[in-house]
Amino acid sequence: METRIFFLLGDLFSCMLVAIATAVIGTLIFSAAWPMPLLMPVSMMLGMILGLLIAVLAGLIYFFGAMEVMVPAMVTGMFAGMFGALVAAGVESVADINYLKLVIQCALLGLGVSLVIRVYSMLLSGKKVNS
Amino acid sequence: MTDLVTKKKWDKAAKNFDFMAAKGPERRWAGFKKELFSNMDGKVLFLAVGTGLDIQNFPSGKDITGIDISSAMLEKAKNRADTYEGNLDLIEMDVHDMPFEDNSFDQVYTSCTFCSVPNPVKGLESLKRVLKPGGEIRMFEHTGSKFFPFNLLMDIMTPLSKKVGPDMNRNTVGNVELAGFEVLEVDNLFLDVVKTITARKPL
Repeated sequence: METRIFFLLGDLFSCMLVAIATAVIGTLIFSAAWPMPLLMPVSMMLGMILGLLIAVLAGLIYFFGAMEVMVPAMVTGMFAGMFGALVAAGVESVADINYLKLVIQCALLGLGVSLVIRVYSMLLSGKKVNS
Repeated sequence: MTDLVTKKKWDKAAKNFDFMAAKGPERRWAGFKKELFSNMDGKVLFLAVGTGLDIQNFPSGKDITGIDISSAMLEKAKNRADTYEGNLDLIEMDVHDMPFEDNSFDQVYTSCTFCSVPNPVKGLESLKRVLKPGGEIRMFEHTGSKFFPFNLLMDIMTPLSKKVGPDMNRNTVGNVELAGFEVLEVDNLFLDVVKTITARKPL
């Protein structure tokens, strides 16, 4: 299990950056014109791909690792893309969100995803020995 | 016969491979790889040595044959191999078409390899052929996940990722078993995605 502060902070930073960037891009791509049944799956899928691209293009993989960055980036991107699309579509529950609030909430989303994946990883880690 | 499509893909990837893999990924896993490679003993085959990033993690004084399908990768590995304090031979070779005699190696090691070998079970069977009975294969690999949503994400992304590099959703532990090895130990390092696998060729 990773315990070095450089990588722990790097994982958090990566998820937060991916969440913010993906959601902002999502608000620019989607709009209220999108039918909701299409908006949700498309924004999730696009968010996932964007998350991965941002992880590569922003150099997060270069600094912090490969799969350990890419997998959380894809999960984060999936949620952040959907969130950005909902904001752009003017869905009532997120209608009052401006860009500052979007950035703050996406930073928290990235933080949350990173922590959940860390806990998930702790639960799955360890040796399984066949006797 | 060498798989020219795969060779071309990795020859092309060699140019930027170190930029993508040399810093974060290597720094992150160097300790785990060193621990895995510290078990090297006897005549060792190292599959897919690439640009030689793993050489710094090899224990000194070992007898290692490193193979890779890509001549461009091996060209970059030469300088790193020259610094190794032991016997390290680098050979351009396709795992599916190895000219080594049966039962000629005591151990086989891989590092992030079986995400990319086009036919993983056949590749593993080839390794089993050259491994002595009772010999061990020790692998540091990333694989697909059994758990949602990671499995779904990796299934979706694999058609894209395999264009430029590895598959993200391989069941490498299952492939090791299908190839006829006895899996002795699986150690999950990140989720159930990054792991070490230790298996043995039956006696």
